Amino acid sequence: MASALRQTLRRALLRGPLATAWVARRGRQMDRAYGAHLRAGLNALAVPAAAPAVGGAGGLRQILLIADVLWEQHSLVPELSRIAPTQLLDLHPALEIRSSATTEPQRVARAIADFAAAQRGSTPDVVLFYARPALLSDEVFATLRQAWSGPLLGLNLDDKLQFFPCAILADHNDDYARWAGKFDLNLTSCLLAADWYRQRGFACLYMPPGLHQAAHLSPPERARFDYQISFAGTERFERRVLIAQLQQVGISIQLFGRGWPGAKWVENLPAVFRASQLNLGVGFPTPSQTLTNLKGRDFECPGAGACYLTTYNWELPLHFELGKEMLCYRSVEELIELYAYYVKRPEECLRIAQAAWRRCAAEHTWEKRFRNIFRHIGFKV
Amino acid sequence: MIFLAPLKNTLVRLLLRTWVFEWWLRRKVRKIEIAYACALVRSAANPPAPEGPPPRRNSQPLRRLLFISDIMWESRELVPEVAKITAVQTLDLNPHLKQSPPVAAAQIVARVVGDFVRAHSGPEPDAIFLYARSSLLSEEVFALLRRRWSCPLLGMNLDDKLEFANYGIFTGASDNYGHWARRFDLNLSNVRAVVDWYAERGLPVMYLPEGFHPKFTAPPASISEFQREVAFVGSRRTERAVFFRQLSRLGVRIEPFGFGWPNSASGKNPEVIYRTSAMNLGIGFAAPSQTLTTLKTRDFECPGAGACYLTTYNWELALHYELGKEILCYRSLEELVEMYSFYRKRPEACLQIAQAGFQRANAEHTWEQRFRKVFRAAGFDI
Repeated sequence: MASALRQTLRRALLRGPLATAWVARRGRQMDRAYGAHLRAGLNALAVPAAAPAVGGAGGLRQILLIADVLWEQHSLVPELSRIAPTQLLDLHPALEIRSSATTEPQRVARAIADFAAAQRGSTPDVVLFYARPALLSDEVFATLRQAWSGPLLGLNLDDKLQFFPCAILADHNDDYARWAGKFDLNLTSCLLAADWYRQRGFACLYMPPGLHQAAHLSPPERARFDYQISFAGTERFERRVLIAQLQQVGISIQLFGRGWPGAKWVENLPAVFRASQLNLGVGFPTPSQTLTNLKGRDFECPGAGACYLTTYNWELPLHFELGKEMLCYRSVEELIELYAYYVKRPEECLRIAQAAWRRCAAEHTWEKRFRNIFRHIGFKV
Repeated sequence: MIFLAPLKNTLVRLLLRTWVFEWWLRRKVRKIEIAYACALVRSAANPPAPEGPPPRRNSQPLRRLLFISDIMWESRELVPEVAKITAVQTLDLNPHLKQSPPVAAAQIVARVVGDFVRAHSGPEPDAIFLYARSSLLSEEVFALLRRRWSCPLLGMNLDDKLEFANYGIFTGASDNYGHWARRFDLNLSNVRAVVDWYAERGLPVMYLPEGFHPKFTAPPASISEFQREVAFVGSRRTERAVFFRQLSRLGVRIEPFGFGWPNSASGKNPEVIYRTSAMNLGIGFAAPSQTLTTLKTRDFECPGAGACYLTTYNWELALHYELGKEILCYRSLEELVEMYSFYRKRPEACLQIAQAGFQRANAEHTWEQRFRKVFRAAGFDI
């Protein structure tokens, strides 16, 4: 009752400038909470990145991926399938059912139990469980352990916001640390977070997001573009602010995605990336435009053979040679400077796109990421 | 009318203090930042114009260079490097400008250059390198040099984001350098985007990032050389003090060296401090802007000394270093704390970065290498 009332009030009141102020305030709160946790851990020592040999020494015959599936179906599953036959348990249908009688973790536990019962006789060698903290519970882990004996790997691609207990947003997507000890191995896309896991005695390996490079796509060959600069993605506060600043100084940016006035939803993202001379990325996970994290887009866009121009983040140069394979801006002023320089040099954008393609194909596919992980834990793949 | 300027100065001195001054400065600087952004967007509509000096028919020997500047760091860093290429005679404007008599700086420079030209009796220079901000330049200076010598005249600006355009926002500021750029046979600019502005105006220009003068023949060999976690070399300024206070609140302690910091040791031998610090903080803003960044001499001097350098991200740095391997860059205060948290536990990684930065800087970024390229492009046989 209280929750429904709260949601109704929020929908009624949080509009226009009030919504903007509320979102910005929440973002600042998250930044402050993150800063406090960071400060608290400054003096902790680095723990070596030893991964447990939970995979035995045999081959990997079957993978089970459990997730509330969005992008994973088209990006992660085809890549995992290159390593071993991959089953997918999509939690989305179970989570779609709106019911006040059961919580999300209860629905997840039920979906897992039902799936295990239906698949009796099929035993995955490894279970990869990609779920936000709000979906997790002791019951979920008990169900998993009861159903399968293979190693359980957890994946978190948003640790800066989810690892520590913050209790700022009502979605309960924080305090992932509480569950990390239940996995045999944790995978994090945040380099610093790998230290946080290990300091708490949890097995953890650093694994940035990857990409699925479609087999039919070849590297770009010509510097002929339909758009000078474009952005593809749903409208959000921090994106809206940045794009408005660009438009104010006269930069016309082509927008694709839900929520932008007059923009269309895009079915074929790689085609849009390749048709754009510069592809804008916005690397913030919060509306305060302070914290950055690695995003799937950071690999997906360059991997499509496109020139990607995104927010600088100190982890990006560990994966790309900036200036040659990808472009990064620090501020909107720097973004304008980069735009002014590169928009008149389409051939240079093409060279960057080609170099990015090569780097992604050589190093950043999900297949390569997971082969590495599986080898680390003892599988022969 | 004659009383207006002193009255204005008195009022400014009286009113523009502490936070009022900061507010006033921020407001003024914001106007420059917006004007800079608008100029960039206007320029974006133009196709790239050809860069470089005008072609010369025959290559000439470069035996003597006359270097004219308000000399500060240049005598220690730039002159010894250019002297590896050719004999350098310097005309230092600094002592004359320091006396600050009640005449404009440009007039003093014209007088000093005039005296020098008249007194000059040795062989003619093969090139003149005039490195001066626009407030030091005048038609008279160029006329004096051109009348006396026919050799090429090179100009350099290392603060073009704030100085090239005619912003007219600060009284007595060194902006509108673009007005004087046409008087040079070759302009050197360290701002990639502004090089386009020169070229669009038909002005001969080359992109010339800063360089450094090597002091060491090898990078540090071991982490045992580190005596502190993070050092900063540079004088105390309000914005730097504020930044360090914010960092301190987040648990990051910076050890500053230089004029004005309480209990600070001298920053006179910066290279020694660089090498004995696991990380060396850089602040890359084109002061007084806290938004626009620019390449700095420090960006080459610090890695060139064999030190791990951690500075404000600037897209042009990525054209000169492999970020993350040869130098480190932060985007924001929060990111700096993250990097500090990660690298302070990994001094071996800092050492590797210092060693890689040293190799890159010494292989590609000395002033000697920069100017050899410039002189060759200008048609000199060196």
